[in-house]
Amino acid sequence: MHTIFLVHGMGSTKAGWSQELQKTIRTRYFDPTKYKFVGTTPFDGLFRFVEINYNQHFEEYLEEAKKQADNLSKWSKLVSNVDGGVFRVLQRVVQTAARAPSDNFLVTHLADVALLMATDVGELIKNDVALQLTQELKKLDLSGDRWSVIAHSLGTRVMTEVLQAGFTTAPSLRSFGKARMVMMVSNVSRLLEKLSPFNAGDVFHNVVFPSVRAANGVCSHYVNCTHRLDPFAFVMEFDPPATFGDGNTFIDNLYHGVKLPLADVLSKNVHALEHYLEHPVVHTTMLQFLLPGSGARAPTKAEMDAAIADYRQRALIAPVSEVTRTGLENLKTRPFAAIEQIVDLWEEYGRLID
Amino acid sequence: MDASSIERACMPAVRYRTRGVVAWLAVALLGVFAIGLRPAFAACDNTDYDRKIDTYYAQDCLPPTADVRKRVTEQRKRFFTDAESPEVFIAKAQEGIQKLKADVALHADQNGDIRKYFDTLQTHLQQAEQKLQALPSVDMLAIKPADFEALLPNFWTVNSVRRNEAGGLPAIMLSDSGCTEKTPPDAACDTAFQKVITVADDVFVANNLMLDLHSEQRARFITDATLRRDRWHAYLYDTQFQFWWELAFNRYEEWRCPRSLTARLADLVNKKCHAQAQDAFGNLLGFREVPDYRAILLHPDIGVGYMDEEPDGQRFKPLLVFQWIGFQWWKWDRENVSGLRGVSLVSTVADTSVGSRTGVGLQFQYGAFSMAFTSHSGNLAVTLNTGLINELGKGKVSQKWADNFKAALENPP
Repeated sequence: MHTIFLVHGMGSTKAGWSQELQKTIRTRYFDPTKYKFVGTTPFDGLFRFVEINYNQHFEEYLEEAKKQADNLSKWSKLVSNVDGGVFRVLQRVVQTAARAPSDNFLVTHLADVALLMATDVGELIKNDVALQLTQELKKLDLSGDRWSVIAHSLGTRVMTEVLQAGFTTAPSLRSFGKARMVMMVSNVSRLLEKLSPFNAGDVFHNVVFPSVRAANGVCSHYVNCTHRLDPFAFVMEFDPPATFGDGNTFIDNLYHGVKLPLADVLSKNVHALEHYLEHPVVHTTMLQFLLPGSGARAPTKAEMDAAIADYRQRALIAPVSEVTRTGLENLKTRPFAAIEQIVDLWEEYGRLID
Repeated sequence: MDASSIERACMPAVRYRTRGVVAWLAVALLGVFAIGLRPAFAACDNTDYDRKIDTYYAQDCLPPTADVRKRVTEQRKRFFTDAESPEVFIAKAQEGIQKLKADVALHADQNGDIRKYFDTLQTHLQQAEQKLQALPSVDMLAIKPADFEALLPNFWTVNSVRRNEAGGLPAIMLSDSGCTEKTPPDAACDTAFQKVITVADDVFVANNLMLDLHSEQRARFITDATLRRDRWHAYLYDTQFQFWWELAFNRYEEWRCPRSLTARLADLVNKKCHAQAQDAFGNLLGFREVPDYRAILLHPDIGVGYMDEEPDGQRFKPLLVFQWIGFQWWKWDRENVSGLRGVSLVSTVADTSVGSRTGVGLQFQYGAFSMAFTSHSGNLAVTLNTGLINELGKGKVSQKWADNFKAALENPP
């Protein structure tokens, strides 16, 4: 049996978030009448899904912060009109602390990024995700069973850090064997490395890369998906150089980059995992390297042409207004060199899809 | 049931005799159903031989042949019946390799036409044997995997990637027979596949040996991750809540270890910061140790103070306690914070009728309780946190005081 770990991105995700997605993969993408290469073995005979959740840790912290804020707000009048000087600092801090975190896009999405990258909430998450992963791997017969990871958005950074830490520690995740496929959708691991206030390493030269060798890398295949309109993916895009990993990933054809064009839009939230997977190139690439075998079998040209034609037909009548489409395209022309500009860009994206 | 599953379930019978196949199969099937196992034969992907070899040993596909199962069970028994420490595991693995080498030599003699593949396998086993002799502890498998590649599970995992590792041998055999992309049933390739499996079974047994060698590592990884997760949770929620600026400041201080201010303070209470190792590209290696100290920075809280100089009936009053800067340290008792202590420079703010509304002083913390002593224009205020107030109420003598403290908290301004 092949276990597929699904790792969510930023935002208010609850346990069970992937149920619909699992159903779609199982029934619509894994369709032998559409793609002969998937074979006739039923999906459930080959694969099982395991959902990885870490959003509860962000929520726990924000909930606790709200409690503290509520408590303080009752008493914050005590600091009004305190004597001047340094006590003004005290007044400002109390007012800040007494303000409960709101539920807007900035808090639900960007606070997740900040808490992960700049605080020790990130350490709690990494260890919890490593634990969720290994508790499931423990159930496998590792001599024959396989495992893979499909991570989205912030989940790509979480998984990059978990695999990096897990494969470079003793005892190591390597004792469970490497993943067959790591698929990163809207990969922000490079971007967050650059935005991190601390040393976040170099994702193109860490251990999270595909390799045929047992001692190298963390997986056999690495699939990376980017949409040209996705402002989380195109800013400091994950686009590895020839020296990626041990320098053999491209030679051995183990890195598979998928770049979706501007016109391929079915809904305004182009960042959504569901939006990515709906694209035939994305779900066939995913299946190609999830399925048993060396990955040599792929959809035929005719199958792909038909699937793409159907997708583009649906894109023409997609419920995305011209204003939204233009707004999304305009995001690409905005500057995003500085962190403030990136945050502005994301906020604008949040407004567009709201 | 498809052709491959029949071939798999009946392999010993097919190899050595043709009569009795049906009877054997019936018994096997009855056995499977009788013990309630799911006969998930469909899970073996027979789209082509390339996929077939990849799913051949997968759980829920088909179990290995009785002979292979027996060999793996005996091997495992050797590991887990007698072995009590990781070091003993190395000796057990050496015994296992010896046995495997003898098996492979025998199988090479029995299958002369595919001897060259068995010879390659024998070379891999010899390599593994040498590595085992040089292996000082099982931890080295994680610390220097490249030096002990032949002892890693992936080196032996039977799959369809043609590579120069033992696990790639079956795929190379399939490729050499021109069967990789052929679809079963195919008479010539079915025969070739049987030969592939003859070699693959030995690789599979070796893979199980390597997995058993790593079993202690896997168990310890989970134990360590559980402990680290629980400690990080306790660090965040069982010391003192950290506002976001405190979280960021403490993270920054940990990153600057050992040059940080908190690391120097930690020295004073016999604590050490743990600088995380990095590779040449600045990538952090491993998981970070959970600290046993932290800084407090600009932390506001509510407490109840006693101010003796205030008029009767107003001596107990709520105060805003503001920790400008402070330091907490503790010991880890498994995943629990134990012996938490802290000291902070504090200001208190209260509605006073005598003296200044603001006071400056020190706060001390022990466990969940803290007490601040501040001077409001020379008038002493003793402030307790809510945890300590609740504790006061547990003794009869202090019940009245506790009630007074609690009452003060119930009337925000």
